[in-house]
Amino acid sequence: MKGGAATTRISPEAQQARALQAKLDELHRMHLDGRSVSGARTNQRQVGTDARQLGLNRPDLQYTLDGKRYYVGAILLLLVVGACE
Amino acid sequence: MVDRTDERYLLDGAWFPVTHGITFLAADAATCADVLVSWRGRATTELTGGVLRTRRVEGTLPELLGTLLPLRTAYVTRYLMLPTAGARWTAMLDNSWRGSEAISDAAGMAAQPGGMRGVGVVDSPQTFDRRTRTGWWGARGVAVFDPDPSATWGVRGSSVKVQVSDTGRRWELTEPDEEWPLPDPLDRTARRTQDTFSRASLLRVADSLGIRLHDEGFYAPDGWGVLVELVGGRGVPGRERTLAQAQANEFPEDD
Repeated sequence: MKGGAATTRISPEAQQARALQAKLDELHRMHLDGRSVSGARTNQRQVGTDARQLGLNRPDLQYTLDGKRYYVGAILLLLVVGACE
Repeated sequence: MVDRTDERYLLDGAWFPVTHGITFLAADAATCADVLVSWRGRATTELTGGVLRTRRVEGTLPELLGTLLPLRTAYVTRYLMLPTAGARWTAMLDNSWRGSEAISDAAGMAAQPGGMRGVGVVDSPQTFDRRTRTGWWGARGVAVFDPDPSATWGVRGSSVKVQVSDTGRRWELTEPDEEWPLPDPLDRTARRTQDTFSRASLLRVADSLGIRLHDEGFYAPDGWGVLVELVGGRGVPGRERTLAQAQANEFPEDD
């Protein structure tokens, strides 16, 4: 692999994986703080709060937070991490 | 030698999906209820305006499970704490129409001030038909979490799980990491993913922890439990479901 300590470029896949993990960590913290977090799924078909399939698309992350269903794609995940750094 | 791979489920599956996931907590029922209220109470009140109250309930195991009804689609409003034979564990279930998220609940309870060892067990038959999109996704898993204030999340432990993917085409494995506190539960020679963590393996792990997962006599041996329920407030997101609707995976047209 090319690059070394002076090279900080991270592949889009690695950035996306890191962003996804950051979002999962955030949800985990909210869960431990008493918020209602359930039905977290990564890269699976879109379903509603009742588990009914809503489409064939596969959001990077979907979850139910305090009774509302959220769907997150790669671009949004990167924005989440960017805002944290 | 009898290989414990029988297809029996608690109460012969009559209360599935309520019994899909059960969290076992290493404390008495009253203590578990107090920790749950201190964990979920404030956030629940902020969201709903209601409060979590506890009360003693009595009856047979099915009657006690009946205190969880109706089930809810998006937000849990009732939890049931059941003492178990031997008094080592309290079993916790809730009124989510898909069954409790036992693995994350085990971590959540262990991480709280005054928290305790939490063991989350998930065990569901594979009945999902990908052509008709009816039935339920098969899953089995175990998580073991212990309080550890020095750990990042205040809890240390891990989980192992196999479950059917959303498409129903294949099984997926979640392997335990280095914090798994028990002997390796996986059969790494198995050809099929679902056999790497078989039902026999699941029952062996449960047995080793003193949990008689599918034995009705294990739960509420003295005929009582503690119900933690949301009282008052502005209501909660989602819909009610009867047990029959949940079992039929039924979605009313006005939903």
